[in-house]
Amino acid sequence: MGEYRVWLRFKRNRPGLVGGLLLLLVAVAAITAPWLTPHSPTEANLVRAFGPPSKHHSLGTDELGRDLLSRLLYGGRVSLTMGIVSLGISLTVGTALGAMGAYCGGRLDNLIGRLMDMLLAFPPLLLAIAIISLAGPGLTNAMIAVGVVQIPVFARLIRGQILILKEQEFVIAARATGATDLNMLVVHLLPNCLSPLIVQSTFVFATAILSAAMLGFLGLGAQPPSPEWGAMLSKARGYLRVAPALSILPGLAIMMSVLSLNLLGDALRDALDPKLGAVRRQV
Amino acid sequence: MQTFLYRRVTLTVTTVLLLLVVMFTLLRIIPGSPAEILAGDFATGKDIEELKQAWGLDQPLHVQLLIYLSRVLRGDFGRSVVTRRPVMTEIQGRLRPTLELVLMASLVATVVGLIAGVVSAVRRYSALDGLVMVFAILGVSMPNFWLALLLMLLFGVTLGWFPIVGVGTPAHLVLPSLSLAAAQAAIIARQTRSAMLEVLSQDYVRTARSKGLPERVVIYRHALKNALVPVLTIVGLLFSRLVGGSVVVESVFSRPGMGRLLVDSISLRDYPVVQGVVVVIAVAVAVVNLVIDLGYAWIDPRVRYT
Repeated sequence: MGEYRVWLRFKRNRPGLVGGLLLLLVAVAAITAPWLTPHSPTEANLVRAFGPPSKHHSLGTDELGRDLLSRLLYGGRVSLTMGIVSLGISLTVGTALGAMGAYCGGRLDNLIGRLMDMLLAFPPLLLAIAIISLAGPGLTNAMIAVGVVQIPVFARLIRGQILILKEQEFVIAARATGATDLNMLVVHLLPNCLSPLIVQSTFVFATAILSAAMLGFLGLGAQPPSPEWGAMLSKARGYLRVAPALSILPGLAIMMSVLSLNLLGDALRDALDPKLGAVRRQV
Repeated sequence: MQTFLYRRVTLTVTTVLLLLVVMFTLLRIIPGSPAEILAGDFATGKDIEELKQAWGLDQPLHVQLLIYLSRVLRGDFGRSVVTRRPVMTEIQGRLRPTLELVLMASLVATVVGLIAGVVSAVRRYSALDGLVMVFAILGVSMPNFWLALLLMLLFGVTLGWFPIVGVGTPAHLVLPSLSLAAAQAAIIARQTRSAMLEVLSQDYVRTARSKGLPERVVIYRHALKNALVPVLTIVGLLFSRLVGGSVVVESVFSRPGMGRLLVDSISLRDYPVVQGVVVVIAVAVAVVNLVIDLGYAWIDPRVRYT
């Protein structure tokens, strides 16, 4: 299908456009954070703790007197980075495993399938927590854990796609003209999996941000004083009565990012191929 | 049905066994000797020696694995590093709050999700449908711990209708189960709606209508029954997701359940408890999934042949 027709279909999807704009907003805010706010996200000043919104601090300050707006903006950097890195891990490893299984078949395929079954049998969040319990809490380990949890999603998707593609005439023709295995995969098979991969990646990105925030909230992900949204909410819980804004705004930021990706994913699925049937491994 | 039963049970058993082997291996891959890790930070030389004896850690690896499997399969995960009580005793004391929460949340999620999905499909493109779908997409995008904080703020702090922390009375269960159920209700509503729309466009629904059957009968007797089949797959995954989510929700509401135990044990580096909780939850999820799959195959015979 031509890219132009996909765009025409996507353009008609209003929630999808809203999602795209929202994502753009979150990304631009995160990238330009140092220019949008003069305050450091981590510099504490107890004198100004729980400050109300003012000219200097447009959203007020938190329990340590840090500028809330700065923390929210810089938090976007942490969350988006975590989402991208986790997505990268699950996308590359999952695609490689799925392609290998489908392409080689036999015992290897069986082994990979069984491993993926095992990963899927676990509640996603619990699996991430189990990995962190062994590797130790922290930003890096949280990203790896969230990435590993989503590997089976891509492995299954790619395996299914390649098994279908393998029977198609153009692939048989390529095989007949003597294409090498690597050539087959890179030139003929994987490019044809692109549409479902894009849709799936959007959903996994959303789930990764959500999971990373949950781990941060549990104290297993990004550690203070990092302005990670989940970790911020975990601290804010103690000041629910004194400073409700601290419990509301970071959550709103998480929801906006996740919502934008979910809207975008739904729209992309409809535009690229309504029958795609991407799966969500929701936490 | 028998081959399916056999195949499905074997799959569950191998998955659980494989999981145990992975846990066993991981504990030997991470830095530090397994005995030191299992004995905790404040262990004496005697503690470590005892552990080595009890778990056969001085034996060759394959013997260690067999000892490990035989102990774990009997529910013996050793003692907590912190409280020195058997891990199983610790876990048993935490089962109830988690079970209550997960069961209540599955009830809420299923009932709300199904009703919302059916209503929204039957009144497609109405304002009500739009509203349900907006709530559904918000529901899947909202972190459950944030919803929990918002509910605490509104119903606990501002209105004072429900207690915000602890367990005990049914009132303590309201806010946690709502926060846990919301996302799952949203998923079920979306799935029910699309399944219902698919079914409502089928020929047999048109036939039922043209026979002059009342709309209520067409929707509930003819359409919903068939739409429920794909929805069941989603409901099957519900338990697993709720158990995972309960970890977070229990933390927010300070409920002394399994999830709380897990998170606390991780920060205290209490490995025997962490291992015990992970295995118990994994086995529970595997068994529930098995039961749901078998029920699914019983309702929809096509499943048995795939």
